[in-house]
Amino acid sequence: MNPFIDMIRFTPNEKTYYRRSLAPTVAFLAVMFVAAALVRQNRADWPFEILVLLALLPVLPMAWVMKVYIDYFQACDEWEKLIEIYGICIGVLAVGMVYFALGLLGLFKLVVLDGTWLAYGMLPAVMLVYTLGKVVGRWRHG
Amino acid sequence: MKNIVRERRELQGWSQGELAERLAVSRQTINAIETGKYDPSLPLAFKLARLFTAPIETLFDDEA
Repeated sequence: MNPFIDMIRFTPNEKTYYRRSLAPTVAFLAVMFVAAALVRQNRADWPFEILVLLALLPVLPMAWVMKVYIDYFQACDEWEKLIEIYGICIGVLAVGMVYFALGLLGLFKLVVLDGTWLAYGMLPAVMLVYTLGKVVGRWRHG
Repeated sequence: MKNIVRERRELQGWSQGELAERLAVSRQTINAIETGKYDPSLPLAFKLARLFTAPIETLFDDEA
C-alpha cells in the first residue's frame, strides 16, 4: 500500500463523522444565508433582541457540528485520538499565535484590524489549520 | 519500537483489516503499529499478545 495514500485515507470513524456532519454543515450555510439576509433587510423594523437572535441562529447548526465531532472523538481508537490531538493542538496554537501577533500589530497601531472579521474568522481558521495538523500527525505516526 | 506484529498477523493469514476488527481499532492503527510509527498503549499491547498467544516482550522490542 502506498504510504502517502494510506496516510490520507479516512478511517471508518472519519467517514461516519463526515457523513454525519454533512447535514449540520448544510444547515449552517442555509441558516447563515437566511439570517444575514433577514438581519440586513429588517434592521430598522424589528426589535434589537430579535435581530440579535437572528444573527446568532447560525450558532445552532455549528453547535450540532461540534456535537457530532465530540461523538466522533469519543468513538476514536487510541491512534485516531493521537491524530486528533495533533490537529487540535496545532490548530489552536497556530491560530492563537497568529491572532496574538495581529493583536500586537494592532496594539502598536501598525495595522488597522477589522475585529468583526477577525472574530468571525477564528473558528474557520482553527478548522483549517486543524486539518493541516492532522496531516502532520498522520505523517509522523501513520 | 520494533515489533513482529506484521509477521504474526501474516502467520495467521489475517489482513490488517481483519486484525483491526478483532482488536476493535481502525486498520490505520494496525498499519501504524506494524510500521513502527506508533507504539500501542499497554491495554492494546496486551490484547495483541493475547490474540497471538505470545508474551508482549516477544511481540515488541524496545531496543533497550
